[in-house]
Amino acid sequence: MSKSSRQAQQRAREALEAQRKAERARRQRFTIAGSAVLVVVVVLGILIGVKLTGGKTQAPSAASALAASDVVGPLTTVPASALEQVGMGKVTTLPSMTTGQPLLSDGGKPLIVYVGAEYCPYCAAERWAMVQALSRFGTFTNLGQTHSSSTDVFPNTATLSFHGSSYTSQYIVFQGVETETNQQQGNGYAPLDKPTSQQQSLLNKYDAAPYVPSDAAGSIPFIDFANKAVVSGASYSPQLLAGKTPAQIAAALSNPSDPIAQAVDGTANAFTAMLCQLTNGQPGNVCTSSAATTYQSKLHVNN
Amino acid sequence: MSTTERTGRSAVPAPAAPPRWPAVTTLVLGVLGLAVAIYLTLEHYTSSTTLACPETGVINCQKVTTSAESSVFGIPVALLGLIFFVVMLPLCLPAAWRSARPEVRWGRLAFALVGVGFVIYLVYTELFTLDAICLWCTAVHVITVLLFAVVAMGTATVTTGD
Repeated sequence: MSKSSRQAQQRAREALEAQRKAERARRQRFTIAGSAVLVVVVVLGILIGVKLTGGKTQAPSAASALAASDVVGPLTTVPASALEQVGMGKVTTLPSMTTGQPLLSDGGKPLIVYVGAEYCPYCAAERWAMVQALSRFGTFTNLGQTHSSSTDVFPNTATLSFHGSSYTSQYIVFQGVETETNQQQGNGYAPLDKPTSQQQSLLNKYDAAPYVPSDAAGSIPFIDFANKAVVSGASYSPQLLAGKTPAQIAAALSNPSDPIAQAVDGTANAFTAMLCQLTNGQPGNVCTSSAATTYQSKLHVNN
Repeated sequence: MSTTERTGRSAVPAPAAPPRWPAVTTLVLGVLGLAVAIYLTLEHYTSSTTLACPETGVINCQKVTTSAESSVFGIPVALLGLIFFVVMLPLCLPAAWRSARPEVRWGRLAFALVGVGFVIYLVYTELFTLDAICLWCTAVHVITVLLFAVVAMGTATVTTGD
């Protein structure tokens, strides 16, 4: 074998060795990369697995109780002068008016349907105005007192609850549905009231476009004012009520310059304007007040 | 390549051309991630006027994006996500994958690793602190994990001299 041939063989062996080394290094890099990806997937899998098998321990918060008299009293007896001074107040979102929809009634009276949940902070905000407006046409008994979820946005917003309450009026019928509590259960909240088939049908039809903005479709709180107007979402931000007790909120409503009164009384005046159109102006002392008429041009009920 | 007696040239194997799949895949993932990150950042700065709760309690983007945990050191997480994809996208271009510069290769890998580490923290926060899931955020998380996987495996395929 010639010298050049031996050199060529030597180079070939070296090249082969270099190739093997490169292949080993490549396999090593793949092993490291694959292991890193596997670790990430396993960590994420463990997190999801622990969650699905009930890893969260949620501190229980107080369930609803009957509303105190120092809350219901000031809320339902806001002086007419304060309501008139507030007028339109500061309302972020007004009800959406429908056209050509048949009047929803029960026993010959316009039927107002509310669907919400106790955990929901926006429902918490909306109930203050609802109770105030509806109390101008009738009387609530056994209203609950509670707060929104402690873990959602605007946590622990003080509010009332329609669960277990009743409402009597010679002018209108009101049905309030609270679908869930503020008590966490599994990945949601403990169920409470189940909507009737009629209430569910109303929710399906009117809590959707074109009756409400598409980005609010399917949301709560949902209010159906006898099919003539609907609300999907709160009329003002729950932020206004942050850190306030129910009694503080109720007391603030009689001070027209208080931002809470501007929002709650203003919303209640808007609701009153619509209810007065549904009741053909009854009761007269409510529907002829400037608080009730201030929104009538903006919220005209269509037949 | 091998040495022959005839040519007598060096037989050291030349680096193989980098495969195309990491460049194509990471580029697509980077563009998708950037698009979702832009949406989430816009949403963060133009807060929604919808004052309503979704009917389901767990899937709740607003709860996630308005929580105290939606900012880290005062910087919105959505903005951090946007910065991540803005930096990552050029590193995922075919030219960057073809680059022989080790700082590009290791920078891309390190950034992908930081991203996936942050995803693990955010998933933990969603599941155990907030108890709510934001689907848009989840989309970004999935993209980031896939991006990390492809970058890691793609980097492993590249023959390096460093």
